[in-house]
Amino acid sequence: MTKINDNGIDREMTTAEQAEYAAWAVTAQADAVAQEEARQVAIAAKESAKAKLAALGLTEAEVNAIIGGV
Amino acid sequence: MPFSSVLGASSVIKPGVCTSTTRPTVPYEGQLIYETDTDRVVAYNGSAWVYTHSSGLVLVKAETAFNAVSSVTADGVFTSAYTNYRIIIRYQCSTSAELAMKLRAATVDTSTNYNYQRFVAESSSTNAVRSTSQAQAFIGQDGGAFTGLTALELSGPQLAEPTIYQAVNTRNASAYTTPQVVQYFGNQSASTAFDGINFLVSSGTTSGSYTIYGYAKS
Repeated sequence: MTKINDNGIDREMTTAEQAEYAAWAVTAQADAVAQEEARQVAIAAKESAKAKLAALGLTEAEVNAIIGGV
Repeated sequence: MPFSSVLGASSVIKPGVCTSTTRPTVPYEGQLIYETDTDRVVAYNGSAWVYTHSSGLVLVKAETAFNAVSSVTADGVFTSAYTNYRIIIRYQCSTSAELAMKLRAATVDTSTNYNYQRFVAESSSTNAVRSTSQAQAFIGQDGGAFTGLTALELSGPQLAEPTIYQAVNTRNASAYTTPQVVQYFGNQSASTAFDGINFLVSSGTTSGSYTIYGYAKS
């Protein structure tokens, strides 16, 4: 059984609370995964861009200067 | 022995104790009173009553511990006494999880209209993601083995207007030597007055504590 801290008191969730929480958690986990995937796509794109700019002859400092990295 | 302590809380005479609507009508400069409805000390400066601590954070809900739970509710904490609130959450999850919030009205969660921008900084990498029309507002992440911190600020939750929030989360990802910054800036866009909040973790459980403060209006 899932627990809740209800205004300062730890207790077991009721059946209704448990059902509501379980349904939300599925959606929240999916949202979190989607956000993380979007973040990884952006990171990959940035790394790809950095590699291509480096291939053009830019230094690492110059690459970071134009893409907002450190 | 002070007169008021003879009968303690049952004393008929409680000098200097009143409410904000029953202050002395003929005060003298330097007079101090304690208002039981605002829980504040007020001084008379010769022309007006002034709160002796008129600025800064005021404790709304004392540090409250939670242990191995998936949800943490705090009701009746947002009132007209304050417009802006600061909530400090120190927590550690049982597994890698997102920390989310839902605003509440009369003990019922609101699960619509959350919009936010997330900013992540880890080592030399930064990244940002925007999410709209969500069922919750994410306010933190925890790697599951190290204590994290979320400092959450809410503006106007008790007003029948959109609630604006920002959260700064320190996530100690795989070790205390690899801290990450995760920031969230967003809103609950409905013109709804809320009086409570629910913190939830997306998986597993969390243990820790939270404290709620109000920013004094004057």
